[in-house]
Amino acid sequence: MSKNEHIVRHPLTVRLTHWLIASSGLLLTFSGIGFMPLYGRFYLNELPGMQWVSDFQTQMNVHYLSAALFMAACIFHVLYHLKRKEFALIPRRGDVMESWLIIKAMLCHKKEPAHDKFLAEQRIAYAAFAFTIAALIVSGYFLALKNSMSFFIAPETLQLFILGHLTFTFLFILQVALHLAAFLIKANRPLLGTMFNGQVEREYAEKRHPRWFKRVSS
Amino acid sequence: MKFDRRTFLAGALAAASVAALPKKEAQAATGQPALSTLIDLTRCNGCEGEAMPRCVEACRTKNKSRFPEPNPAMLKNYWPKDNHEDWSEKRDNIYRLTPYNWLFVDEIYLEVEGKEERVNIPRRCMHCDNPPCVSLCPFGTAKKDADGPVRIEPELCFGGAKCRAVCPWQVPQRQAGVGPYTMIDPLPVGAGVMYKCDLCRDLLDQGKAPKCIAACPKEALTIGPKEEIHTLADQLQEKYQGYIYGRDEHGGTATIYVSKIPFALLDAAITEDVDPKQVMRFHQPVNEGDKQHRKASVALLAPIAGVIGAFAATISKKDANDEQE
Ligand code: HEM
Ligand code: HEM
Ligand code: SF4
Ligand code: SF4
Repeated sequence: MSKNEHIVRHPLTVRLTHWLIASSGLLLTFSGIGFMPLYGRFYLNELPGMQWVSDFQTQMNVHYLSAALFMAACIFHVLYHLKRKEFALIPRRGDVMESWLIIKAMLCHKKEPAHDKFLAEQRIAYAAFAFTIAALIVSGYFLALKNSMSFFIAPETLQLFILGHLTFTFLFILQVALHLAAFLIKANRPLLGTMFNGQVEREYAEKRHPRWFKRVSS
Repeated sequence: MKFDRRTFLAGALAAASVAALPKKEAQAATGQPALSTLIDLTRCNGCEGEAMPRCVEACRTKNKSRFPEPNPAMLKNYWPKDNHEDWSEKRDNIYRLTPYNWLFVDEIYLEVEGKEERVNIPRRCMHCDNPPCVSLCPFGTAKKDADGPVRIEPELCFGGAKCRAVCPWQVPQRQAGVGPYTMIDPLPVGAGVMYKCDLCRDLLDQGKAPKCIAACPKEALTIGPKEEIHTLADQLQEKYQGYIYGRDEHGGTATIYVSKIPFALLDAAITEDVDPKQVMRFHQPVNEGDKQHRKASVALLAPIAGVIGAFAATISKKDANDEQE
């Protein structure tokens, strides 16, 4: 398992899935925001090579293409870990309390509780991400279904789906921002590299994630 | 074939004996009771001699209470752009579509077979079968009803004017200084509210014809069940040895023009010496929404790839699971 002073945290499949979801998710957000005529107003379309950002049809194509990648990757992620029985990111009883302890520890420079592979906050954040993404996929799928067959839906119902899709877009952006902000915290910094090279320092894991470390090193 | 233009709907619905049902059930009972309208250009004379065409006057009177009353403090440029769209000082303009004028009568002159002709063309929203203004509105506030009319509800309209940008006839018109964007003011999003014809949605619900149709002294305007209007259009085309516009254009609309003069000639006259983007044309626009169908399907099939991928990736791999307690 170990390679010198490092241990594997995220195998290649997991990293590829993460980056596929992240890149298609950001493209979805960019094209989705582009459905609102904002980029033209702020002259983004006048930057070199950026004319397409205010072209609604192009943005729609980008949205469909990235939605395809996004949905495929999300479903892959769920089934892959289900089949491998990997549930380290599922919230556990007491996670809310434990998150509070972690925050308190950080604020008061006290010692954090011993972590498993992920922090209690990460498990809660994962559940929130999963919920938001599921809502975006369900509503988006419905809208795409409507666009692919143009069957009649009562306009009020349609508007509910559209506004729901939009609301969860804002929640999604907020969560991505929090996800990135987590790496501003110094204690979390060593995790940043793990999504790129898959490895984390042995010493760090031993100290901060002892419950996980015990299992992988045995 | 002739419709009583004032009470046609009551008749049509009674015939299907669903007149007493609430709207939703009536729709279910009649399947697709789509409506259509017909504009006979051989009959319209622009209400020659009157101060204002009757249809235009009827429309303006009926909708007066719905016209925007902008907050003067909000009549400022759309930062960082240096423009804003304000029609509130030009409410009297009846020669084009504006937030205060949802129907206008275009008057064009052209030469047909050596003869000077004048044609008067009532213009308003076409009420498309697959309207891009509806399918692309990011707030779902542009709506198409089961019986065909397309309307924009002002409550959630931010005035981004995307509906106008994607409408082949630039129908929806923007007024600054009204609508939800004024509530989030210093934020640089939103620009007003879009306005256009809703085919007198409230009157249709009461089984009555739209005001413009009822007001026309020449009976140039008609409304009725779609199939009947299509039959009528065919009959008129035959009778005039004329032409039809709006039935197949843009994937179909609920507004059918009938004319003795080819629409290509009318279009040429309309676009002469002007920017074709600034006038309401008789061109052949492609419906982008219809083209979208296949692209959407590609996205819809993608989850299958995820399923296959997950099974393929977990067949052979037997490396340790590091997550079990
Ligand atoms: C759409 C965008 C993204 C989504 C949906 C997403 C989702 C996730 C999820 C659910 C996790 C699991 C654990 C956790 O919550 O920390 C994770 C881990 C991680 N993500 Fe993201 N992510 C996104 C974008 C990014 C970006 C842009 C970066 C880097 C700059 C990044 C870096 C990481 C890293 C380093 C981890 C590993 C943390 C650890 O090992 O504990 N992510 N991501
Ligand atoms: C991270 C995920 C996603 C984000 C942030 C996102 C964002 C948005 C936004 C902001 C809009 C414009 C506002 C609106 O109409 O609600 C939109 C529209 C749309 N989205 Fe998404 N979206 C996501 C995922 C998806 C997925 C997975 C699909 C599925 C195929 C999808 C399909 C659509 C469609 C079809 C529309 C056009 C709405 C219409 O036709 O009325 N989206 N999206
Ligand atoms: S004519 Fe324009 S505004 Fe009217 S339904 Fe068609 S696309 Fe929408
Ligand atoms: S449609 Fe009728 S009311 Fe309108 S201008 Fe023509 S003749 Fe007058």
